Amino acid sequence: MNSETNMTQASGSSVKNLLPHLAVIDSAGVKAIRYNLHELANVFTGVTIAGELLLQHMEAGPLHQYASNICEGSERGCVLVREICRQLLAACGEIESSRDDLGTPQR
Amino acid sequence: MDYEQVEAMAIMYSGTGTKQERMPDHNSYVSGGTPRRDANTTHSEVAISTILGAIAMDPNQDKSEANLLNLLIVDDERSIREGCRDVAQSIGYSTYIADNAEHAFRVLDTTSIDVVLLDLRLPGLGGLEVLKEVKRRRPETVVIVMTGYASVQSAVQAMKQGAYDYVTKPFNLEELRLILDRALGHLQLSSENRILRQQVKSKEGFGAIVGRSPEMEKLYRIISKAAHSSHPVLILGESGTGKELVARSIHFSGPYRDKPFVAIDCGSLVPSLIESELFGYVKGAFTGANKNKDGLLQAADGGTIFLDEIGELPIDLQSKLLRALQEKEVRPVGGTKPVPIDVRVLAATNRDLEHAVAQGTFRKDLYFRLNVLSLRIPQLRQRKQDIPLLVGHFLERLTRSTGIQRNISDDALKLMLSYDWPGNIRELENCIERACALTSGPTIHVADLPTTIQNWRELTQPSAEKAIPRRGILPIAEIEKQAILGAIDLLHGDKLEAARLLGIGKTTLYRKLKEYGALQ
Repeated sequence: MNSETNMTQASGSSVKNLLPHLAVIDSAGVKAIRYNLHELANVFTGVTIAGELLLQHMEAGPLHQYASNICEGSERGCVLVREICRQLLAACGEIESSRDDLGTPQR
Repeated sequence: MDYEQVEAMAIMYSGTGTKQERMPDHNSYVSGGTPRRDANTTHSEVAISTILGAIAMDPNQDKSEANLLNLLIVDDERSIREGCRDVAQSIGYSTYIADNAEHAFRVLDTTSIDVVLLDLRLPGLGGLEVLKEVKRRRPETVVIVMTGYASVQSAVQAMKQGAYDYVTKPFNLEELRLILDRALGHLQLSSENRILRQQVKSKEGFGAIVGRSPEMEKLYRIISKAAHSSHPVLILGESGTGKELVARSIHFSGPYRDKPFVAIDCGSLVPSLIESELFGYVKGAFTGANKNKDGLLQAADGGTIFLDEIGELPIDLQSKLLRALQEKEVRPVGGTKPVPIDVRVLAATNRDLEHAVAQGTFRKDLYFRLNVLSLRIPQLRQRKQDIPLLVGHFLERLTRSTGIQRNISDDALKLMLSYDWPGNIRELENCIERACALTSGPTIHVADLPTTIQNWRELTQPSAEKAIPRRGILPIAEIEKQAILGAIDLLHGDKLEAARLLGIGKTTLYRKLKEYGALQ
């Protein structure tokens, strides 16, 4: 463990002592959450697109309904992942981007 | 696992999603062979050339193949690679996939990739490094980054390094389609601009005449024949079609090219001065004639005289002109001795001279004298396929004069193609100049075009509401009258500016005002 991590943990401990109702996550923890969120986003993107493609190729019936349920579930999952990402960005003091921030793509 | 091949035999789809045919897909790079096309040529260029119908394509090349753009998907998640691949194929992309940076570079080395869909988080070399490398190798490649966190920082970083766009994971089918469609549009537009520039550089028709439509090709043939004869030529065409340009082309393409070319606008000469301008005068012919002065016909001696708006020449001068042309001599005002002249006569008008002859406002004998050879310049609406070429030509010219490079959006070009251009090329030229002056960015959009053209879209796009005419049907002549009078009114009586903005000649404007009884 390097000195930077020690310092982070030390400052985290002192904050925790002062404000016991706060949960403190150090930079390594944030990194791990980000990694897992990215993985979760990957999973949901894959499931969502596969589900929607599946739905397009299925005729109405019980199987179509199952595929529709998968899409609905994955869409909800996507919304939740986005929400957690947004919360994490806010907690880390980062600003969430929107297209307005960057303007339209280059022409 | 080595990078995956899409399929040994992929099903190719057209842009509309219609299954067209089966063809072997991308075996070339798998087996280490050469890619099927020149790595410097993007598919979009070929696709656009088909749209414009202007670039000769290899007749043996399969069109459906030529129209496909190459997309490389770089992501370590198999389900995303496969999902994106299927969606992209349904849009009309030809797809390649790679699960890490190394594989991506191998594909880039052997294949001409147009678009890269790139995950920012990759095992080994990160997505930003891949982005940098892609832009270094092929700067024109469109890179769309897929990011896990929609932070401004990450998006800005990617855009700074040359990404065209970004999409935040998780995304759905619709978002993916939108972003791929947008990239497709971008590539088509940039390639179109490139082709237009190349075309303008490679061929401008006769002299400065721009156009490659069949109508213009026919015109070039006539010009070529006319240039090598010495007969008078009557050039007919609507206002703004480029009659003087054609006259100049006839002169400068023929044996008179080293001799003078004198253009006279018969409509703009002051009536009392036309005679002295055309035939010259001798000292003492009238007050202020302190010395002899050659007329314009003498000034053109040995070369070509171009009588523009010949239909506006007063009837009494028509007989004098006829005499000069027949006798090949002029008699200066106040002079007694005729002066021999040797000139080639070209005349132009936008009026129906036969009708004028029938009405007795134009001399029949002069008409026959001038109408030995005649050519009619097609209206712009008859050769709309030349519009992209003309737009490119005017943009290129403006770039040269202003140093600012501009292009035009797909939508704006489409609208321009649908518009009828009553003021012909002059109107188009004014439209481009105006749009370049108004646009804030490098691209001209629909909003930068004149309102007449923007309103044209509304008029020509039928909707339930618009299908019912609100004010009834107006005759074109009435619409023209309203446009002219409205423009003069808006410009507080500035007729020259009105003519310029309307895309018509000042003579035409004055004639119209005279017809309306609005000339003060």
